[in-house]
Amino acid sequence: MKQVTPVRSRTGATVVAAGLVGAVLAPIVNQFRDAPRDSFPLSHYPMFSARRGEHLRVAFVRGVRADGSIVVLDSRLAARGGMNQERKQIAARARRRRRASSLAARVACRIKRRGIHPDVVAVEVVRGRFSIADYFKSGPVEPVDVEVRARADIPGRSEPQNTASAPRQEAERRIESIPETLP
Amino acid sequence: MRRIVTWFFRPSSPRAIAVVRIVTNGWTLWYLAKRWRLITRTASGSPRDFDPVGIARPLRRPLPPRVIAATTAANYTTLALAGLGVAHRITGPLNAALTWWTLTYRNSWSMVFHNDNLAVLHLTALGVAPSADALSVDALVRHRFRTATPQPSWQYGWPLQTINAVTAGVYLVCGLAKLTGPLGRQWATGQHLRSQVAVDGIRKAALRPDADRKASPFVEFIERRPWMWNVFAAGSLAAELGAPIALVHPRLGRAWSIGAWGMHAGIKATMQITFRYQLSGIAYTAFALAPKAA
Repeated sequence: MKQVTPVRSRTGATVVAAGLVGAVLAPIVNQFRDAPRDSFPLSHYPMFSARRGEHLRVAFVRGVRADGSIVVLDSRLAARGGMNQERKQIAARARRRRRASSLAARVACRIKRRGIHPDVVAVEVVRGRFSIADYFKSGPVEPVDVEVRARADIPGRSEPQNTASAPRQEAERRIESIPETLP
Repeated sequence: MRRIVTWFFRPSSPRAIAVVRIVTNGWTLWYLAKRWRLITRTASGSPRDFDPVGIARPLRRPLPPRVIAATTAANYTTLALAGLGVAHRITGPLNAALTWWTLTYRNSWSMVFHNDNLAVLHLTALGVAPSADALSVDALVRHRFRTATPQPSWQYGWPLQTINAVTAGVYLVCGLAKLTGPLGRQWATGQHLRSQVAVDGIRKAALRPDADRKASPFVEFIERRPWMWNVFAAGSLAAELGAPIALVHPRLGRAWSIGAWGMHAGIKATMQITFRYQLSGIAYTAFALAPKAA
Protein backbone atom coordinates (compact mmCIF):
# COMPACT_ATOMS: atom_id res chain seq x y z
CA MET A 1 0.00 0.00 0.00
CA LYS A 2 1.30 3.44 -0.93
CA GLN A 3 2.35 5.58 2.02
CA VAL A 4 0.14 8.68 2.25
CA THR A 5 1.73 10.43 5.23
CA PRO A 6 4.03 12.08 5.84
CA VAL A 7 3.68 14.11 2.67
CA ARG A 8 7.06 14.03 0.92
CA SER A 9 6.19 15.08 -2.62
CA ARG A 10 6.04 18.65 -3.89
CA THR A 11 2.58 18.04 -5.31
CA GLY A 12 1.32 16.63 -2.03
CA ALA A 13 2.78 19.58 -0.09
CA THR A 14 1.15 22.04 -2.48
CA VAL A 15 -2.22 20.30 -2.18
CA VAL A 16 -2.07 20.26 1.64
CA ALA A 17 -1.01 23.91 1.90
CA ALA A 18 -3.50 25.16 -0.70
CA GLY A 19 -6.28 23.11 0.92
CA LEU A 20 -5.60 24.41 4.42
CA VAL A 21 -5.11 28.06 3.48
CA GLY A 22 -8.10 27.93 1.12
CA ALA A 23 -10.26 26.42 3.86
CA VAL A 24 -9.20 29.16 6.29
CA LEU A 25 -10.00 31.92 3.79
CA ALA A 26 -13.22 30.39 2.41
CA PRO A 27 -15.49 31.56 5.31
CA ILE A 28 -14.88 35.17 4.16
CA VAL A 29 -17.94 34.69 1.91
CA ASN A 30 -20.03 34.27 5.08
CA GLN A 31 -19.36 37.91 5.88
CA PHE A 32 -21.53 38.87 2.91
CA ARG A 33 -24.44 36.59 3.82
CA ASP A 34 -27.52 37.80 5.69
CA ALA A 35 -27.49 35.21 8.47
CA PRO A 36 -24.17 33.40 8.34
CA ARG A 37 -23.68 30.34 10.51
CA ASP A 38 -20.41 30.18 12.39
CA SER A 39 -18.36 26.98 12.37
CA PHE A 40 -15.25 25.46 13.88
CA PRO A 41 -12.33 25.60 13.25
CA LEU A 42 -13.11 27.28 9.92
CA SER A 43 -14.82 30.44 11.06
CA HIS A 44 -15.64 33.87 9.68
CA TYR A 45 -14.77 35.27 13.14
CA PRO A 46 -17.84 37.38 13.80
CA MET A 47 -16.73 38.27 17.33
CA PHE A 48 -16.24 41.95 18.04
CA SER A 49 -17.65 43.01 14.65
CA ALA A 50 -21.38 43.37 15.47
CA ARG A 51 -22.74 46.86 16.02
CA ARG A 52 -23.53 47.63 19.67
CA GLY A 53 -26.41 49.82 20.78
CA GLU A 54 -26.64 51.91 23.93
CA HIS A 55 -28.07 49.02 25.89
CA LEU A 56 -27.30 45.36 26.26
CA ARG A 57 -29.79 42.68 27.22
CA VAL A 58 -28.48 39.73 29.20
CA ALA A 59 -30.48 36.79 30.57
CA PHE A 60 -29.20 35.55 33.90
CA VAL A 61 -30.27 33.85 37.12
CA ARG A 62 -30.50 35.57 40.46
CA GLY A 63 -31.44 34.67 44.00
CA VAL A 64 -33.99 36.45 46.15
CA ARG A 65 -33.26 36.67 49.86
CA ALA A 66 -35.91 36.56 52.58
CA ASP A 67 -35.77 40.36 52.95
CA GLY A 68 -36.40 40.79 49.22
CA SER A 69 -32.84 41.77 48.35
CA ILE A 70 -31.19 40.29 45.29
CA VAL A 71 -28.00 38.32 44.70
CA VAL A 72 -26.77 37.43 41.20
CA LEU A 73 -26.11 33.70 40.90
CA ASP A 74 -23.26 32.11 39.03
CA SER A 75 -24.38 30.92 35.58
CA ARG A 76 -22.65 27.56 36.20
CA LEU A 77 -25.62 26.72 38.42
CA ALA A 78 -27.91 27.02 35.39
CA ALA A 79 -25.93 25.80 32.40
CA ARG A 80 -22.60 24.32 31.39
CA GLY A 81 -19.80 24.70 28.89
CA GLY A 82 -18.05 27.94 29.85
CA MET A 83 -19.41 31.43 30.41
CA ASN A 84 -20.42 32.29 26.87
CA GLN A 85 -22.05 28.93 26.21
CA GLU A 86 -23.90 29.29 29.52
CA ARG A 87 -25.04 32.79 28.48
CA LYS A 88 -26.47 31.46 25.22
CA GLN A 89 -28.16 28.52 26.93
CA ILE A 90 -29.79 30.71 29.60
CA ALA A 91 -30.91 33.22 26.94
CA ALA A 92 -32.49 30.40 24.91
CA ARG A 93 -34.43 29.20 27.96
CA ALA A 94 -35.47 32.71 29.00
CA ARG A 95 -37.23 33.19 25.65
CA ARG A 96 -40.05 30.82 26.60
CA ARG A 97 -41.67 31.08 30.02
CA ARG A 98 -42.19 27.33 30.31
CA ARG A 99 -38.52 26.61 29.73
CA ALA A 100 -37.52 29.47 32.00
CA SER A 101 -39.69 28.00 34.78
CA SER A 102 -38.09 24.63 34.38
CA LEU A 103 -34.64 26.24 34.58
CA ALA A 104 -35.54 28.24 37.70
CA ALA A 105 -36.85 25.08 39.38
CA ARG A 106 -33.71 23.17 38.48
CA VAL A 107 -31.41 25.87 39.87
CA ALA A 108 -33.52 26.05 43.06
CA CYS A 109 -33.16 22.28 43.56
CA ARG A 110 -29.44 22.48 42.88
CA ILE A 111 -28.98 25.20 45.51
CA LYS A 112 -31.01 23.18 48.01
CA ARG A 113 -29.08 19.99 47.29
CA ARG A 114 -25.66 21.64 47.54
CA GLY A 115 -26.64 23.68 50.58
CA ILE A 116 -25.21 26.88 49.10
CA HIS A 117 -26.55 30.44 49.34
CA PRO A 118 -28.30 29.72 52.68
CA ASP A 119 -29.93 33.17 52.71
CA VAL A 120 -31.54 32.76 49.28
CA VAL A 121 -35.17 31.60 49.35
CA ALA A 122 -36.12 31.81 45.67
CA VAL A 123 -34.53 31.76 42.23
CA GLU A 124 -35.51 33.97 39.32
CA VAL A 125 -34.60 33.71 35.64
CA VAL A 126 -34.50 37.27 34.40
CA ARG A 127 -33.60 39.35 31.40
CA GLY A 128 -31.80 42.53 32.35
CA ARG A 129 -31.21 45.61 30.23
CA PHE A 130 -27.87 47.24 31.00
CA SER A 131 -26.59 50.64 29.95
CA ILE A 132 -23.24 50.42 28.19
CA ALA A 133 -22.36 53.99 29.21
CA ASP A 134 -23.02 53.17 32.89
CA TYR A 135 -20.39 50.43 32.87
CA PHE A 136 -17.61 53.01 32.95
CA LYS A 137 -19.17 54.97 35.81
CA SER A 138 -18.28 54.22 39.41
CA GLY A 139 -20.53 51.89 41.37
CA PRO A 140 -21.71 48.35 40.80
CA VAL A 141 -22.95 47.09 37.44
CA GLU A 142 -26.74 47.12 37.77
CA PRO A 143 -29.43 46.62 35.13
CA VAL A 144 -31.52 49.61 34.07
CA ASP A 145 -34.53 47.30 34.22
CA VAL A 146 -35.23 43.62 34.53
CA GLU A 147 -37.93 41.33 33.28
CA VAL A 148 -38.61 38.33 35.50
CA ARG A 149 -39.24 35.40 33.17
CA ALA A 150 -39.71 32.72 35.83
CA ARG A 151 -39.44 32.20 39.54
CA ALA A 152 -39.07 29.11 41.73
CA ASP A 153 -38.97 28.88 45.51
CA ILE A 154 -36.17 26.86 47.06
CA PRO A 155 -37.82 23.90 48.76
CA GLY A 156 -37.82 24.12 52.55
CA ARG A 157 -36.74 27.74 52.76
CA SER A 158 -39.02 30.52 54.00
CA GLU A 159 -40.96 32.80 51.64
CA PRO A 160 -39.42 36.18 50.86
CA GLN A 161 -41.01 39.27 52.39
CA ASN A 162 -42.15 41.82 49.88
CA THR A 163 -39.57 44.43 50.82
CA ALA A 164 -37.93 45.03 47.45
CA SER A 165 -36.65 48.53 47.04
CA ALA A 166 -38.94 51.07 45.38
CA PRO A 167 -36.62 51.70 42.39
CA ARG A 168 -36.40 47.97 41.68
CA GLN A 169 -40.18 47.58 41.85
CA GLU A 170 -40.54 50.56 39.55
CA ALA A 171 -38.01 49.15 37.08
CA GLU A 172 -39.71 45.78 37.09
CA ARG A 173 -43.13 47.37 36.53
CA ARG A 174 -41.78 49.19 33.47
CA ILE A 175 -40.78 46.02 31.69
CA GLU A 176 -44.20 44.40 31.93
CA SER A 177 -45.06 45.73 28.48
CA ILE A 178 -42.03 44.07 26.84
CA PRO A 179 -43.17 41.32 24.45
CA GLU A 180 -42.32 37.75 25.34
CA THR A 181 -39.97 36.97 22.48
CA LEU A 182 -37.29 39.60 22.49
CA PRO A 183 -34.22 38.92 20.32
CA MET B 1 3.98 32.60 -9.04
CA ARG B 2 7.61 31.55 -9.23
CA ARG B 3 8.43 33.66 -6.16
CA ILE B 4 5.63 31.99 -4.21
CA VAL B 5 6.92 28.54 -5.18
CA THR B 6 10.48 29.50 -4.18
CA TRP B 7 9.20 30.90 -0.88
CA PHE B 8 7.08 27.84 -0.17
CA PHE B 9 9.86 25.33 -0.87
CA ARG B 10 12.62 27.10 1.06
CA PRO B 11 14.83 24.50 2.73
CA SER B 12 14.79 24.16 6.49
CA SER B 13 16.33 21.95 9.15
CA PRO B 14 14.28 18.91 10.27
CA ARG B 15 14.85 20.14 13.84
CA ALA B 16 12.89 23.39 13.29
CA ILE B 17 9.62 21.67 12.36
CA ALA B 18 10.29 19.07 15.08
CA VAL B 19 10.45 21.82 17.70
CA VAL B 20 7.09 23.17 16.46
CA ARG B 21 5.66 19.64 16.64
CA ILE B 22 6.83 19.12 20.22
CA VAL B 23 5.66 22.47 21.61
CA THR B 24 2.31 22.47 19.77
CA ASN B 25 1.40 18.92 20.79
CA GLY B 26 2.72 19.44 24.31
CA TRP B 27 0.77 22.65 24.78
CA THR B 28 -2.46 21.13 23.36
CA LEU B 29 -2.12 18.09 25.63
CA TRP B 30 -1.72 20.35 28.67
CA TYR B 31 -4.65 22.53 27.53
CA LEU B 32 -7.05 19.63 26.90
CA ALA B 33 -5.98 17.65 29.97
CA LYS B 34 -6.90 20.62 32.16
CA ARG B 35 -10.33 20.66 30.50
CA TRP B 36 -11.30 17.02 30.99
CA ARG B 37 -14.12 17.93 33.35
CA LEU B 38 -15.36 20.78 31.16
CA ILE B 39 -15.35 18.63 28.01
CA THR B 40 -17.08 15.64 29.59
CA ARG B 41 -19.60 17.76 31.52
CA THR B 42 -20.44 19.77 28.39
CA ALA B 43 -20.97 16.50 26.50
CA SER B 44 -23.59 15.45 29.04
CA GLY B 45 -25.59 18.66 28.61
CA SER B 46 -29.20 18.90 27.52
CA PRO B 47 -29.81 17.74 23.92
CA ARG B 48 -31.70 21.03 23.45
CA ASP B 49 -28.40 22.91 23.73
CA PHE B 50 -26.71 20.72 21.15
CA ASP B 51 -26.01 22.78 18.05
CA PRO B 52 -23.45 20.80 16.05
CA VAL B 53 -20.92 22.67 13.91
CA GLY B 54 -18.17 21.66 11.51
CA ILE B 55 -17.51 17.93 11.28
CA ALA B 56 -20.09 17.28 14.02
CA ARG B 57 -22.86 18.85 11.94
CA PRO B 58 -24.24 15.59 10.49
CA LEU B 59 -25.14 14.50 14.05
CA ARG B 60 -28.84 14.82 14.81
CA ARG B 61 -28.46 14.36 18.55
CA PRO B 62 -25.55 14.33 21.00
CA LEU B 63 -23.45 11.20 21.30
CA PRO B 64 -23.46 9.32 24.61
CA PRO B 65 -21.11 11.14 27.03
CA ARG B 66 -19.01 7.99 27.50
CA VAL B 67 -18.17 8.04 23.78
CA ILE B 68 -16.86 11.59 24.14
CA ALA B 69 -14.91 10.59 27.26
CA ALA B 70 -13.35 7.74 25.26
CA THR B 71 -12.45 9.87 22.22
CA THR B 72 -11.03 12.60 24.49
CA ALA B 73 -8.88 10.07 26.35
CA ALA B 74 -7.73 8.67 22.99
CA ASN B 75 -6.91 12.23 21.93
CA TYR B 76 -4.69 12.67 25.00
CA THR B 77 -2.82 9.51 24.01
CA THR B 78 -2.32 10.57 20.40
CA LEU B 79 -1.18 14.05 21.50
CA ALA B 80 1.48 12.47 23.70
CA LEU B 81 2.57 10.00 21.00
CA ALA B 82 2.60 12.59 18.20
CA GLY B 83 4.49 15.02 20.46
CA LEU B 84 7.11 12.36 21.20
CA GLY B 85 7.17 11.35 17.55
CA VAL B 86 6.17 7.72 18.07
CA ALA B 87 5.00 6.13 14.80
CA HIS B 88 4.23 9.65 13.64
CA ARG B 89 3.21 8.40 10.22
CA ILE B 90 0.07 7.08 11.92
CA THR B 91 -0.21 9.07 15.15
CA GLY B 92 0.31 12.43 13.39
CA PRO B 93 -2.78 12.34 11.15
CA LEU B 94 -4.79 10.44 13.76
CA ASN B 95 -3.94 13.06 16.36
CA ALA B 96 -4.93 15.89 14.01
CA ALA B 97 -8.28 14.20 13.32
CA LEU B 98 -8.98 13.51 17.00
CA THR B 99 -8.07 17.03 18.15
CA TRP B 100 -10.26 18.44 15.38
CA TRP B 101 -13.08 16.21 16.62
CA THR B 102 -12.63 16.89 20.36
CA LEU B 103 -12.65 20.65 19.98
CA THR B 104 -15.39 20.71 17.35
CA TYR B 105 -17.70 18.68 19.59
CA ARG B 106 -16.83 20.91 22.54
CA ASN B 107 -17.87 23.91 20.38
CA SER B 108 -21.16 22.28 19.38
CA TRP B 109 -23.11 23.42 22.43
CA SER B 110 -24.75 26.77 21.59
CA MET B 111 -21.62 28.83 21.18
CA VAL B 112 -18.53 28.64 19.01
CA PHE B 113 -15.38 29.82 20.74
CA HIS B 114 -12.57 31.21 18.62
CA ASN B 115 -9.62 30.56 20.93
CA ASP B 116 -8.68 27.08 19.72
CA ASN B 117 -8.97 27.38 15.93
CA LEU B 118 -5.29 28.03 15.30
CA ALA B 119 -4.06 25.10 17.40
CA VAL B 120 -6.30 22.66 15.49
CA LEU B 121 -5.17 24.00 12.12
CA HIS B 122 -1.50 23.89 13.10
CA LEU B 123 -1.82 20.29 14.33
CA THR B 124 -3.40 19.38 11.00
CA ALA B 125 -0.38 20.66 9.06
CA LEU B 126 2.04 19.06 11.53
CA GLY B 127 0.16 15.75 11.43
CA VAL B 128 0.57 15.19 7.71
CA ALA B 129 4.03 16.73 7.34
CA PRO B 130 7.36 14.96 7.98
CA SER B 131 7.65 16.71 11.34
CA ALA B 132 9.05 13.73 13.26
CA ASP B 133 12.24 13.12 11.26
CA ALA B 134 14.25 14.69 14.11
CA LEU B 135 13.91 15.01 17.90
CA SER B 136 11.56 12.03 18.02
CA VAL B 137 11.36 8.40 19.02
CA ASP B 138 11.07 7.56 15.32
CA ALA B 139 14.39 9.35 14.69
CA LEU B 140 16.03 7.47 17.59
CA VAL B 141 14.90 4.15 16.17
CA ARG B 142 16.15 5.12 12.72
CA HIS B 143 19.51 6.11 14.22
CA ARG B 144 19.73 2.73 15.93
CA PHE B 145 19.39 1.06 12.55
CA ARG B 146 22.01 3.48 11.16
CA THR B 147 19.74 5.16 8.67
CA ALA B 148 21.20 8.44 7.37
CA THR B 149 20.43 11.56 9.44
CA PRO B 150 18.04 13.82 7.51
CA GLN B 151 19.61 16.96 6.06
CA PRO B 152 17.98 20.40 5.63
CA SER B 153 15.47 20.17 2.82
CA TRP B 154 12.37 21.79 1.30
CA GLN B 155 10.47 18.86 2.90
CA TYR B 156 10.92 20.55 6.29
CA GLY B 157 10.37 24.09 5.03
CA TRP B 158 6.91 23.80 3.53
CA PRO B 159 5.17 22.75 6.80
CA LEU B 160 6.57 25.87 8.52
CA GLN B 161 5.46 28.08 5.63
CA THR B 162 2.02 26.43 5.65
CA ILE B 163 1.59 26.96 9.40
CA ASN B 164 2.58 30.62 9.01
CA ALA B 165 0.26 31.11 6.03
CA VAL B 166 -2.62 29.56 8.00
CA THR B 167 -1.89 31.88 10.95
CA ALA B 168 -1.78 34.92 8.68
CA GLY B 169 -4.99 33.77 6.98
CA VAL B 170 -6.88 33.48 10.27
CA TYR B 171 -5.87 37.01 11.33
CA LEU B 172 -6.72 38.38 7.88
CA VAL B 173 -10.23 36.88 8.04
CA CYS B 174 -10.68 38.43 11.53
CA GLY B 175 -9.66 41.84 10.21
CA LEU B 176 -11.89 41.56 7.14
CA ALA B 177 -14.82 40.60 9.37
CA LYS B 178 -14.49 43.96 11.12
CA LEU B 179 -14.15 45.90 7.85
CA THR B 180 -17.06 44.16 6.14
CA GLY B 181 -19.21 44.27 9.28
CA PRO B 182 -21.86 46.93 9.95
CA LEU B 183 -19.26 49.40 11.25
CA GLY B 184 -16.78 49.19 8.40
CA ARG B 185 -13.81 51.52 8.78
CA GLN B 186 -15.50 53.16 11.77
CA TRP B 187 -14.29 50.17 13.78
CA ALA B 188 -10.85 51.82 13.88
CA THR B 189 -12.17 54.84 15.83
CA GLY B 190 -12.15 52.79 19.04
CA GLN B 191 -15.70 53.63 20.12
CA HIS B 192 -16.84 50.16 19.18
CA LEU B 193 -13.93 48.57 21.02
CA ARG B 194 -14.90 50.59 24.09
CA SER B 195 -18.51 49.33 23.80
CA GLN B 196 -17.26 45.78 23.35
CA VAL B 197 -15.23 46.03 26.55
CA ALA B 198 -18.38 47.22 28.35
CA VAL B 199 -20.47 44.42 26.82
CA ASP B 200 -17.99 41.83 27.97
CA GLY B 201 -17.75 43.32 31.46
CA ILE B 202 -21.54 43.50 31.84
CA ARG B 203 -21.92 39.86 30.78
CA LYS B 204 -19.32 38.81 33.32
CA ALA B 205 -21.09 40.82 36.01
CA ALA B 206 -24.38 39.08 35.25
CA LEU B 207 -22.98 35.57 34.91
CA ARG B 208 -19.90 35.40 37.15
CA PRO B 209 -20.85 37.46 40.22
CA ASP B 210 -17.76 36.38 42.16
CA ALA B 211 -15.47 37.85 39.54
CA ASP B 212 -14.47 41.50 39.61
CA ARG B 213 -17.58 43.25 38.35
CA LYS B 214 -16.08 46.56 37.37
CA ALA B 215 -13.71 47.71 34.67
CA SER B 216 -10.11 46.66 35.30
CA PRO B 217 -7.59 49.32 36.41
CA PHE B 218 -6.14 49.12 32.90
CA VAL B 219 -9.54 49.97 31.36
CA GLU B 220 -9.93 52.85 33.81
CA PHE B 221 -6.49 54.06 32.75
CA ILE B 222 -7.54 54.03 29.07
CA GLU B 223 -10.89 55.61 29.88
CA ARG B 224 -9.06 58.65 31.28
CA ARG B 225 -7.20 58.90 27.94
CA PRO B 226 -9.93 58.28 25.33
CA TRP B 227 -7.49 58.61 22.41
CA MET B 228 -6.01 55.28 23.55
CA TRP B 229 -9.20 53.46 22.45
CA ASN B 230 -8.48 54.73 18.98
CA VAL B 231 -4.85 53.59 19.15
CA PHE B 232 -5.83 50.09 20.33
CA ALA B 233 -8.57 49.68 17.73
CA ALA B 234 -6.45 50.95 14.84
CA GLY B 235 -3.51 48.84 16.07
CA SER B 236 -5.62 45.67 16.26
CA LEU B 237 -7.02 46.23 12.79
CA ALA B 238 -3.55 46.90 11.39
CA ALA B 239 -2.16 43.73 13.03
CA GLU B 240 -4.99 41.64 11.56
CA LEU B 241 -5.12 43.08 8.07
CA GLY B 242 -1.33 43.32 7.91
CA ALA B 243 -0.80 39.66 8.84
CA PRO B 244 0.10 38.55 5.27
CA ILE B 245 3.10 40.92 5.40
CA ALA B 246 4.54 38.61 8.07
CA LEU B 247 5.08 36.01 5.35
CA VAL B 248 7.34 38.22 3.27
CA HIS B 249 10.50 37.95 5.40
CA PRO B 250 11.35 36.00 8.58
CA ARG B 251 12.22 39.25 10.39
CA LEU B 252 8.88 40.77 9.46
CA GLY B 253 7.24 37.57 10.66
CA ARG B 254 8.91 37.85 14.06
CA ALA B 255 8.06 41.55 14.35
CA TRP B 256 4.44 40.87 13.42
CA SER B 257 4.29 38.00 15.95
CA ILE B 258 5.28 40.40 18.72
CA GLY B 259 2.56 42.81 17.56
CA ALA B 260 -0.09 40.07 17.41
CA TRP B 261 0.95 38.79 20.84
CA GLY B 262 0.65 42.37 22.14
CA MET B 263 -2.87 42.57 20.74
CA HIS B 264 -3.89 39.44 22.66
CA ALA B 265 -2.20 40.79 25.79
CA GLY B 266 -4.31 43.95 25.34
CA ILE B 267 -7.48 41.87 24.95
CA LYS B 268 -6.57 40.03 28.15
CA ALA B 269 -5.91 43.28 30.03
CA THR B 270 -9.11 44.99 28.91
CA MET B 271 -11.64 42.16 28.61
CA GLN B 272 -10.13 39.29 30.60
CA ILE B 273 -10.53 37.14 27.49
CA THR B 274 -7.61 34.73 27.33
CA PHE B 275 -6.42 33.47 23.96
CA ARG B 276 -4.19 30.88 25.62
CA TYR B 277 -2.53 29.45 22.55
CA GLN B 278 -1.61 32.89 21.25
CA LEU B 279 -0.57 34.27 24.66
CA SER B 280 1.64 31.25 25.30
CA GLY B 281 3.63 32.35 22.24
CA ILE B 282 3.46 28.82 20.79
CA ALA B 283 1.14 29.96 17.99
CA TYR B 284 4.06 32.02 16.64
CA THR B 285 6.86 29.44 17.02
CA ALA B 286 6.84 28.71 13.29
CA PHE B 287 7.44 32.42 12.59
CA ALA B 288 10.43 32.35 14.94
CA LEU B 289 11.84 29.35 13.02
CA ALA B 290 10.73 30.36 9.52
CA PRO B 291 13.19 29.31 6.79
CA LYS B 292 15.38 32.05 5.32
CA ALA B 293 15.86 32.64 1.62
CA ALA B 294 18.70 30.51 0.25
